[in-house]
Formats: sequence, C-alpha cells, structure tokens
Amino acid sequence: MRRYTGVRVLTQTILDCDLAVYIGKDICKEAYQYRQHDNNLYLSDEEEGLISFALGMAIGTDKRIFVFCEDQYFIRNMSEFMQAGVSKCKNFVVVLFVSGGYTNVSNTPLIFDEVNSQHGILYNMGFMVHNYSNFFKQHKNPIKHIRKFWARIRGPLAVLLPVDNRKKDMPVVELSKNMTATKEFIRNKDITGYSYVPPFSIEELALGV
Amino acid sequence: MVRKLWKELCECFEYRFFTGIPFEGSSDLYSAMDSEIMHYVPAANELIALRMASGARVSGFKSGVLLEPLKINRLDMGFNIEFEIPILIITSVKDILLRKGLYRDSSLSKVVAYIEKNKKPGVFLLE
Repeated sequence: MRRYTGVRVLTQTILDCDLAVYIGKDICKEAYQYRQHDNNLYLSDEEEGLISFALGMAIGTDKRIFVFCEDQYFIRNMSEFMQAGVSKCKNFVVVLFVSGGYTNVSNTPLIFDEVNSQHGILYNMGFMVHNYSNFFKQHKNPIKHIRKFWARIRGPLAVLLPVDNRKKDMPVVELSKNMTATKEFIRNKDITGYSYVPPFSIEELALGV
Repeated sequence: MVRKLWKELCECFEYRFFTGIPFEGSSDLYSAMDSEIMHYVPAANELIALRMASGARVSGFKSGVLLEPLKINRLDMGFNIEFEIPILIITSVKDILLRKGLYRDSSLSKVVAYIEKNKKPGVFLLE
C-alpha cells in the first residue's frame, strides 16, 4: 500500500470530535489533501518531543488524540513512545507508517525494518497494538470497518501500517505557525469527546471536586 | 515552607499539572507534593517533561516543570515561544548559570505574571 492511500483512509475514519496531529512534511501534505479541518495540527518532524506534546494534550482532555508519524520518527524518539505507552492514557492513539526507509532522503534503509518484532516492542512499552498488514486486502470498505472498531478502542493504541515508499506530488502545505485553532478546539466543551473518564482527572482537581 | 509553596502555586495561581526530573536539592519539593491539589507525572527526560507540560497547557491546564538548572540551558524553548505556550519551570538556585534571554526570578508571583502576560516560559528559582 502506498502511504498516501493509508493517510487518506485513516484520516477519513477520524471523527469531528477527535484531534489529529500529523508529524512530518510529507504526511502533512498528504493529510491536508484529503482532510482539511480545524482539528488538524501539522508539525514538522525536525522538531523533537512532539509525541510527548500530543500526550500532554491527551492528558488534559477527553477528546481522542491521533498522532500520525513515520517509523523514522519512532526510531529517533523511542523514549517518548515509552512515556506514552506507560502513561495508560486511554484517549491516545499513534499511527505508525512503516516504510523501512527514510522516505525523504532517497529511501535509504532504516533499522526499524530489521527488528525481530515491531509490534512486540510497542506492546512491551505498554501500547495495545493493531497491525493492519493484511487488513486492506481483506476488506472492501476499510473506512467503515476501521471506524467501527476505533469507536470502541481504549488506548494507548499503536497502529502499525506497512507502506511502500512511492510518493505522489502533493501541493505544499503551510505547517502550523500558531496553535489558536487547536487551542480553541481542544478547550471547547461543546464538542463532546470520547465517552470515557480521562485517566488523570486534572479537571476535578481544578474544580476542587 | 515548601508545602506552602505548592499550596500557593496550585490554589492561588491554579497550576495543577506538573512533570519533571528529580535533581539535587529537589527532594523537599517532591516529599511535599500533595495529590489532593496537583497531579505529577514523572518524565523520561527533560525534553519530554517540557513538551508534556506544553501539551497539557494547550488543553487548558496551567502546568509546571521541575528541572535541573544546567539541563534547562540545553533545552530548546523555541517551540514554546513560537506557539506561545507559557510554562513555569521550577529549579534550584544553586550553581545557577542560566542562559540569557530566559526570564528568571525568585518571586513566584513575578514569574507567573511574566509568563502569563508574555506567553513564554519563565524560571522560578527556588531558594
């Protein structure tokens, strides 16, 4: 499967009450092409600590946070994934596009492809792991199916989606320079989030309940 | 004394979410933490702590980070400045050689006022 097809399918399964964080210029371009919404946050993968940033957002809200990134970002920032895994944050989902190479630098190989058990690493970190290697071959309408079981998921969830390195020319997207729309969206209590109690009830502390 | 500081920080200034890495001289701070008024998450490293606190702030909760003075200099605060995410950094005053351009004070009210007004990180020096 090509990565942009994966981005197209998975971004369309996200609900309007969820927040999607796209990490990496290419993923941002593809996501922008297929889903433009206030609850999208586009960030460059040159920055570090973005998984932790998304985790911090997930801790403070009842909305689900979906993070889309590549395996090269995982390799560079494994300690962040470990932090997210042990957090037991139920509204945190990370979608990992496994291409086995640096897609932005002539597809040079990446060590993640040589790992014995990719899902084993994530599982031992504390994530529940979905591997969609064969899913798209078996289902004619994957959006409907994924949306159905993502409606009942409990995080922290890591979704592994093997993709190939082929690219498609997409228009350039302006990466986020301010976070006003995201702040307004995430703090908006009228947009009902996911139906579960957040793991850390900071809100109760703030209200003195 | 330290218990009073937490109470002031959590109840008067409404800082509720904290994260960080323990450092020399911070044991009093940690032993005086009260889970009734605050929430603390131990972080794997300094950058994770800073970013996690930033995320919680974006969600609407005032947050603070406990960090070692020398580690603060190595942290990239550009993300917080670019996206205007104010964060309170708490550190010990010992051996302090903080880099220029980072606001610091030993008065909690001054630091909080600065970071909330300018939407930038600020350092509270614990005496």
